[in-house]
Amino acid sequence: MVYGHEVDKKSLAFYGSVTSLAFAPKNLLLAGRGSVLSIYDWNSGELLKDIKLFKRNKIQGIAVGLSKILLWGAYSFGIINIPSLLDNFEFTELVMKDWLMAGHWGLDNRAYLVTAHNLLLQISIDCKQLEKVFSCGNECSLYSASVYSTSDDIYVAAGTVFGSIDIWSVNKREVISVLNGHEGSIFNVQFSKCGSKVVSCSDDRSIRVWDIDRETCLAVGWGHMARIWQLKFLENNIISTGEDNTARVWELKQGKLDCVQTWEGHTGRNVWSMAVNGLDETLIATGGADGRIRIWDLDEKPRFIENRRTTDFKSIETAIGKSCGSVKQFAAFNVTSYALSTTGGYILSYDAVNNSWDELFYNQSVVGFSLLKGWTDKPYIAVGDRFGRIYILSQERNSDVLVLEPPTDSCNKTVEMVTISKDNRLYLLVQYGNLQAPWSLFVLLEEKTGPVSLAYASTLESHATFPFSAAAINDSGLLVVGSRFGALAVYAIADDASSKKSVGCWRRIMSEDCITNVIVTHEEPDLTDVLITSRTGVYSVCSVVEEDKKVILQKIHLNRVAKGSIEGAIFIGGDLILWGFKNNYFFVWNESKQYEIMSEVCGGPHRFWHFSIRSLTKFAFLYTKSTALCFASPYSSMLQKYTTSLLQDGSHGREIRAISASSAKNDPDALLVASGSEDTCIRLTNVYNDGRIETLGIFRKHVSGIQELKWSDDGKYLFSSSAREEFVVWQVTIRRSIVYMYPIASAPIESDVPDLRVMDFFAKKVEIAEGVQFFIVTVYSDSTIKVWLFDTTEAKFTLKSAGRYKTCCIFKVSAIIDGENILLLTGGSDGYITCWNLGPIMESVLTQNLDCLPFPEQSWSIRAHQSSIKSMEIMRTEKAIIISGGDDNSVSVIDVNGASCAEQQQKLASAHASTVSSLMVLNDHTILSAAVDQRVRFWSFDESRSKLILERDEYTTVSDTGCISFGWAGDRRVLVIGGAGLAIWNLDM
Amino acid sequence: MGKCSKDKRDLYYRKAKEQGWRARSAFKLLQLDSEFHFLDNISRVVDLCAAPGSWSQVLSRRLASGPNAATIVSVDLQPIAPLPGVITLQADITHPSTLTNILKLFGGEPADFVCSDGAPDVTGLHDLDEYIQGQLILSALTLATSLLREGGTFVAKIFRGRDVDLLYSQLALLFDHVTCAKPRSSRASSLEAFVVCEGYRPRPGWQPESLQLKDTKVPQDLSIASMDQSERAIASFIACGDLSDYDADATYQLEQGVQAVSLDPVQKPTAPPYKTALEKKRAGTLR
Repeated sequence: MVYGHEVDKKSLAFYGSVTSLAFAPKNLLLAGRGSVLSIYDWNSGELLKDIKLFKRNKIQGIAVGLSKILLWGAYSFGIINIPSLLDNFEFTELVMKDWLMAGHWGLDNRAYLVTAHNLLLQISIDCKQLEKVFSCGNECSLYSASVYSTSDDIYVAAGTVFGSIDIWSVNKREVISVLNGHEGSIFNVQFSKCGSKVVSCSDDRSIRVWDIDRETCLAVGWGHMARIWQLKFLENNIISTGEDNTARVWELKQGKLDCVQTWEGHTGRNVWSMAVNGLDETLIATGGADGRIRIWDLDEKPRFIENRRTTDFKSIETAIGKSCGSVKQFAAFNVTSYALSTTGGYILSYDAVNNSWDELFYNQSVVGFSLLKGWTDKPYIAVGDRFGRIYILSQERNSDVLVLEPPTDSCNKTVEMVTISKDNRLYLLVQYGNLQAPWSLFVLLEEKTGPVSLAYASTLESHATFPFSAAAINDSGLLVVGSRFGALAVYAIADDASSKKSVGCWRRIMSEDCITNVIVTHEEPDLTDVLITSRTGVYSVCSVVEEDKKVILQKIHLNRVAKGSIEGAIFIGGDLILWGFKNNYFFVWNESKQYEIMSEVCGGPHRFWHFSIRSLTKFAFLYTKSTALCFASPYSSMLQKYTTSLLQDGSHGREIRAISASSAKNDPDALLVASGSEDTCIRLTNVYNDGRIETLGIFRKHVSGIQELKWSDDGKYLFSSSAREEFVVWQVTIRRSIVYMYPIASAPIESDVPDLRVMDFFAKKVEIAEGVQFFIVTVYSDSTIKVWLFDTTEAKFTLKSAGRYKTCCIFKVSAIIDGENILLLTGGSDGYITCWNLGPIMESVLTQNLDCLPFPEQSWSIRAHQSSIKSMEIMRTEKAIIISGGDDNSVSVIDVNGASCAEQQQKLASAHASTVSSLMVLNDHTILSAAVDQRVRFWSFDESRSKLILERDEYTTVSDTGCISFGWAGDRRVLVIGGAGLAIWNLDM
Repeated sequence: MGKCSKDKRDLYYRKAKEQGWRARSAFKLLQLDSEFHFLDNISRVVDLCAAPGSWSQVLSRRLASGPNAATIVSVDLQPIAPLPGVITLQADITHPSTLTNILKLFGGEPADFVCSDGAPDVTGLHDLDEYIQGQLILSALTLATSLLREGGTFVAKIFRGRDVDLLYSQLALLFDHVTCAKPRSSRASSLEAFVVCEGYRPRPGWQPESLQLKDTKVPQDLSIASMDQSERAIASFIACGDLSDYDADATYQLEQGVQAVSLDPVQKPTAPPYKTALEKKRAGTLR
């Protein structure tokens, strides 16, 4: 990182709210990320530079002038010359006495700032002095402001806390217009191009357009589900962003403000910042609380889709010159040419580029019967008929048709077909109307010239209640078939015509809902990983393992998409692309990078449809809507103005409540970190020692905000807890560079009180039988303490004991272990640390006794804090020492003398100015504390006196500072700080 | 406070309804007073940013009756439903006439106690929220300095964020004792706490204008060094309320049968600014 202000070598990066954005000449986009200014080339998608500008304050606003850029945030501001933007420029942080709400470049080339008390400050032309202060006489508190210059005056639009917008003239020094109508504080106000109008938003969640001179409201717009933060008044549109995580485009027509587009591109909550490119006003950048920066093109309506063609069935019949009935199913030869079946027994070909139709095939046996399937990127389709016959057609009209007969006469009609293509082989799996009949497996060979030929046909023994729906095959001939009822069956396919039995069948892999896709993701001798997707919106990775001639299935991954059903999946360039339906629209979603690629309002899933995708820019969605056929595809010429719509990735979109660094690695240069947030998600992230982060996965399992997260010592398990009594054990599998997590079990839920939170837990591996067992203690917000034995093989919790402290909330739990002795320590909201001797319970566990034992009486209890204990760590030297941090700003040091007693050695009453939310033992003689006052303090530990001595005091950009963790990333130790955002520090400075 | 499922979650919320308080925050003032006894023997009291009036309610129940009934004035921009023995003023606390009006009600005598439980519209941008809250406290404090007798008490809600130490040092110039207090009824997970400032005694030479940020003097030194010299101090912390009191962070299992009863609100919630938006959302016309 390059530093404009001062040398701050500890900070490597900050991933938090993007608080300001502005476009600058030469394809530059400037973003305020904390106190750092990031400069991007939005065209290439490159981050060109990071510069820390302000010492503490965040950059809340950026105004680009003709030759200079004005930046401000809180009390600070500064100016950069545009030509030196990409060089090593000098930057001086200047401060005002009051908070700055808005910045502006006047026509006189001077910078102007508006304070939170409605004063306009004029900065001298050399940008060094406050030259003049203008007031309109009403110095009330503002939530927003903006400035407009004409050749002979300057106007300020002041958004007050009382719901009015006051427009005042700098020349007259008085209010010339008061706009009343909003309720609640005015969160944003912007002038129109001509300066005769303003647009505003307030706590009432409406957008209003006003005529300044006539003091009248011209239009009101409703649409945002929560508060609105940003507005821009363009020539033809108004753009807004808000707390509901959307950006919206509005059209002002005949006194009406209509929302014409809604962009959902951020996660969590709040789109804080927005910018519009200066010249043609077609590009919009948005910045969220999730740290993401997205680019949107106003010209794409809706996004990406250029070709949208609707053809009535009647006009298709006219084109063919036959009455072929209505269109049923589709199969693709490629992204732009298709085969369609009709109710009249016709198979038509459709060229979507020329919008031309042709008759391909007709047979009496497919009249009123329209089963049709294609192979990915192969110019053939399979048509099933009423008698169990299959016709293989080529894209070429009048070419030979290959007919595949059913294995027996009693098969009845063809019911379902699944196709797989692998090199020059086309696999076709067929299910028949007679459910007792075996399935057919046809293997076709694609010749260099001429038609496709049958290599062999064989049969697979079918399973009862197993209507198949998807299948995949690995390189050694292992066929994995998924069913409509959520089951998987595996067959070993040798290249011969013999009948095969399945080598394994497993029911309810994720649920009883349809498995919509199966993809082989990894293969090694005796092990194949398959990714399976379900219509319920859940996807999973399972390992098919051949062990002693037996085939077993191990579930290694389970996750859920943020929205809707999953109808299909594909890997493109390493990214998992999923598609499906939500409500009335179809979507294509990049699950790896978490953004929507396209969406099409089609009316929902109850229709015939087909989606083909070859790359992130080459795909098409074909569907029927009442009596018409619709085709939607992206820009054929790829006129896209930028390479990526996700310019900057980020982290959680809500406050981070727990962070834990793993001892396991999937990349030797990175620290593997799990983080949990109020957004209910667990994120796995690789943190590099230059501050870069890479998201490995986002796990949606908990239904309420995460309270605590911890890894097992070996990194093979992750434990997470939240409200609703949720405590989840995740099994971690690292396959090459991919980290999979499967929630193998949740602790039993006994209460129906949704607020009952698992505040903290303690998990320790114990060795008693084969497999892996954990001794787990969970503590709850209703003062309950539960002791469990957890067996990972059987995924089973056994309650070993349960007790209650008092009635207060238990925030923290830890334990001191010496051999078989285990002293449990709890920290409550009453400020007491209490010790419980769990030795007898542990002994019972180790002797494999499964009885539930009485909970012990407390051994001792000591008042460490006046109120809630928010952090507690054990330090082991010759003795055991408890370091705790409280809501009372203090840090306490307690010597433990076994189960007999403990003694408070030190109480640092004002260790911080606010709640000490996190403590960390860095090594035998160093402790770190983090608090809500946004400070991280380094303390050295004097063992002889059991005392902490303050060594270093550092400021962090992360507000609502809540959790810290550290570990090795390559050859350096990095500190990860979580709260409202994520900060990465270099610990070895 | 409306009629909602919160009843089942938050014990103080339910207790407030049972005991007839307009908001659960009444317990915060009660617990603060149980520690500091600032409501003993006082006769002129001002509650700023008082709506919906739960602190005024506490003041009314404690001070409004008996032979030595106190004069209680409650001020807010929003209307406050009448309370026995409380004079309500719908006024802006930053407006000069508000001071004159209050003093008139006290017959020109200074106040013994000024409190404010006001909070701004929290946006989620922590820096901004803490600033706006700071401004609200300074407005209340500005009024309080003109109202309080020497030795009087000032109590206000604060957010313990990154610049809370600057606020403490400003308050220390005006009062003998400044304490940061957190009642048990306030959640540990919230940034909220209260400053209890006892013994109003401005240091000699102290000017009321020093509380103002509206410095219009030009030219001005804008270097960051001027900011760095600001004094910071940490006020001592006191947790209030008996340990046997209910705990705002804890989950309580309600006794059998209690849960089924949903209590009516003591007072209908005041209409929020986004009322129309909510109605549209419910009607399905917001999309």
